[in-house]
Amino acid sequence: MTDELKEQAAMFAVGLLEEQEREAFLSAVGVDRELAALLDEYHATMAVVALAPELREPPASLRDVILAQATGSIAATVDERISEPVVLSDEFAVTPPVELSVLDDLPVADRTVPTVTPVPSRRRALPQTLPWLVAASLALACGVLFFRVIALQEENVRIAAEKGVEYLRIALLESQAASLPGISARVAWNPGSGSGIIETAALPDQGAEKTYQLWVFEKDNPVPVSAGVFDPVANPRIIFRPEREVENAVTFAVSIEVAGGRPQPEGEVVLAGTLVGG
Amino acid sequence: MLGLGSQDPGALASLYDRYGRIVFTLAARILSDDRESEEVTQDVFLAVWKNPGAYRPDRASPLTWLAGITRNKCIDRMRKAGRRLPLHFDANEGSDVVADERVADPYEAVAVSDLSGHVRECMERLPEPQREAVEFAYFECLSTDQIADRFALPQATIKSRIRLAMDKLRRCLRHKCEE
Repeated sequence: MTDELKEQAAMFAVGLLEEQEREAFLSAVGVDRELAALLDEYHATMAVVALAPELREPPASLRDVILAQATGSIAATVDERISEPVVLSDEFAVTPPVELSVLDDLPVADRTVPTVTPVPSRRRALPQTLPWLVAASLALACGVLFFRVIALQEENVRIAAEKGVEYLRIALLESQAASLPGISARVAWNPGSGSGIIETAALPDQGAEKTYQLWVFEKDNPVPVSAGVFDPVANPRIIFRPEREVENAVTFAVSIEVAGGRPQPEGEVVLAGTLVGG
Repeated sequence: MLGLGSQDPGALASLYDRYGRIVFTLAARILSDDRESEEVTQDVFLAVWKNPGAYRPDRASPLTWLAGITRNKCIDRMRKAGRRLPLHFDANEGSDVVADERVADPYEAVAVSDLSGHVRECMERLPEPQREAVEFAYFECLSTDQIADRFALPQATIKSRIRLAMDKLRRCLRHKCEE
C-alpha cells in the first residue's frame, strides 16, 4: 500500500477525497484488503470523533416525537382523516364527527373527536328597522360558509394526495400553573392546512362559569390567535382551527377564560409549549 | 439494531437511548443551531426506522453508520442554505469484495462515556495544527481548499496533516480502548 493510497483513505474517511480520485481509490479498496481494513479503521476513528464535543442531551420530548412518528400514530391520524368525511365545527352545521386514533390506548367509545368551539365575534346588533340588511348578512354568511366548506374539502383532497405525515409537527404543552402541576397536552399541528389536534391530559373541569381557550402564537408576533374554547373533560382530543389564518405557528398555549372565551387571553395561562424543531 | 427490521418500536427506542445524545451533539456541533439539530436527529432516526436494511453490520458499527448519516444530513442542510461544502461522507461506501473479511469496529464494545473521554484525550494530544485540520474537516465541513485558505498553506500540507492526525488518533484510541 502506497503512502498516496493511505492519504486518500484518510481523506475519503473525512469526506474530502476529490471526485476524480474517488473511483480509482474505491477500485483499489476492492482489491487491497490491507487498504480496506485501514479505511474501515479511519471510518471508525472519524465516527468516534463525533464524541469529542461534550455530549448534550436533546430535549426529552424529541424521543417521544420520534417514536410517535415512527410508530405511525400521527400518520394514522392523517390517513383516517383523509378516508373519512371532513369534520367541520358547529359553525358549519356539520356531518357526523370522524373517528381518530391519536391515542390508541383509549377505548373506542372515546375516539370521537369533536372540534373546538370558536369564540363568537362581538358584533353590534343590526338595526331592527333594516330587516333587508339581516337577510343580506345571512346570505353573505351562507356564501362564506359554503366556500369554507368547499375549501376544507379541497384541503382534505390535497392532504390525501400528499399523504402528509411530514406536514404534522408536534408541540408538547407543559403546565404553567403551580396549582395544576400534573396537566399536559400534545398538539399535532398541520401547517399546510392551518389546523390541528390537541390532546389533553388531566385538565380539571372548570364548571359553567369558566372555560379553557386555546391560543396560537406566530413567530415574532406576541399577539396570539384564538383557536377556540373547549371542554377537555368531555373531549380530551379536539380538532381545532385558529380563527384566522396563522403564519408560521411556533407556540401553543391554553388559558382559563370566562365562559364563551375572550378575543385575547385575560385569564391564567395553564399550558404552553413550542413546536418541536422550531 | 436488531428488531428494527421487524419494525419493533422498542428497538428504535433502545437505539435512540444509546445514540440519540451523540447524534444530537454531532448535529449541534456542525450546525450550531439547536432547533435544526433536533430536526436532523429526528430525520436520522426516522430514516433508520424506515430503511433498517440500509445498515450493513459487516461494514460499520451503528455509531459509524449513524455518525455518517448525521453528518450527511447536516451537510445537506448547509448545502441548501448555500454553503460551499465538500463531498458526502458515506460510512457504508466501499467495496463489497472484502466486506466479509473486514475487522469488527474496534470501539464498538467500549461504553460511550468511556469512549467519549478517550476521544477527547486523544484529540487533545494531537498537535494543534493537526487537530484543527480534523476539526475543520469534520465539524465545520470545510473542503480541503477552504481549510488550506484558513491556514494559508498548500492543500498538500493539509492532506498530510489530516492523515497524520488520523493515524495518531486511531493509535491513541486503540491504546486507550485496550487499556
